[in-house]
Amino acid sequence: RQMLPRVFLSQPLQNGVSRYTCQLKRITLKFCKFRPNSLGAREFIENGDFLEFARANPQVACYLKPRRNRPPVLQAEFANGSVQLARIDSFPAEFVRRWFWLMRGRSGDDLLPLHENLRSFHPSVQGVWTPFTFGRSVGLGDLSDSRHRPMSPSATELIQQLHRLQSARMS
Amino acid sequence: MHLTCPLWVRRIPKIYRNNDPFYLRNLYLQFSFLFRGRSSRCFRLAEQRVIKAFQHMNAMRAVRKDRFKQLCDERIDAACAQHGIPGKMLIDGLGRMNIQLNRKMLQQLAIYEPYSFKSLTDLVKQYHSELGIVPPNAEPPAPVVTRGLLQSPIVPGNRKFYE
Repeated sequence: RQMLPRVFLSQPLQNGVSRYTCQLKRITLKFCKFRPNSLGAREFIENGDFLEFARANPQVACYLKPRRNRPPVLQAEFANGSVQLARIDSFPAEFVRRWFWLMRGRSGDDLLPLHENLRSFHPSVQGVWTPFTFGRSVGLGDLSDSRHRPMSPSATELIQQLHRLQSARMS
Repeated sequence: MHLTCPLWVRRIPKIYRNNDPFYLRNLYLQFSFLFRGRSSRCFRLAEQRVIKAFQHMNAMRAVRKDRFKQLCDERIDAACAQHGIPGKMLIDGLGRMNIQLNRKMLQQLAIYEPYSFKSLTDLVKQYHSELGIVPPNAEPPAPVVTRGLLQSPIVPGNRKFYE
């Protein structure tokens, strides 16, 4: 709780409720042309998977950035301005492909622990349970046992007092 | 080592120990930014609190599961008590009928879908009454047409007997 606060699942501007816009805006694959830990990234490019991703997602600007003597990294920039980095050091090409498509589905919000994995503004179809759902079979307690006493008697109590006095006088 | 993004955030790399002390101290202070008082600002206090907080996080993982299970059990018990059966009878009965609803889903149904939950309790009562077990303090359930399928349900193993 202190280290990482829990959040409720949410989308920026309720993305997906009525229309969906891809939140990923730019994706950059930084890799080395020679070092072995970039092999997966290089294979991903050479097998045509990178072009396939770029063609399938015209809304995303895809960049390749060869950098000498550096480990490979995937940098994704989102509509809310956040940047996420995925280290793909020594990953097989298939894993690199999966990271690409994972970033495509993300909203850019920080990855924080969730209270629940689901969220709905209308969680109940039949109506949320109340003590009155199945009649008053749930004991609500006799209110006359309550320690709370209001200052003045209620109208019902006044009438009951009058009735008691009257029946006492009558008898 | 391949770690998911949240775990990368929580990782303290050993390389920081050989570099300028700023890097390691800054990392601890990043973890302590929500702490109270000087523990969130001063490294010498933050280091102790952060290490303890990591220990708490580790220890709480198993405890959280147990507590959630207890909460679900309590809620199911309370909801079943309204319909006159004990919570354990519901869970056991549903298991015997091969209705695969876990405690988490049952307590969600009890809160948000009370009529569905009632129908589940009726099913369990019917199952037990077919076996001759009558739960005490229970109202007779709404008639449930079972055709003997509660006692011998059709599962993938015995489907050929019903064809």
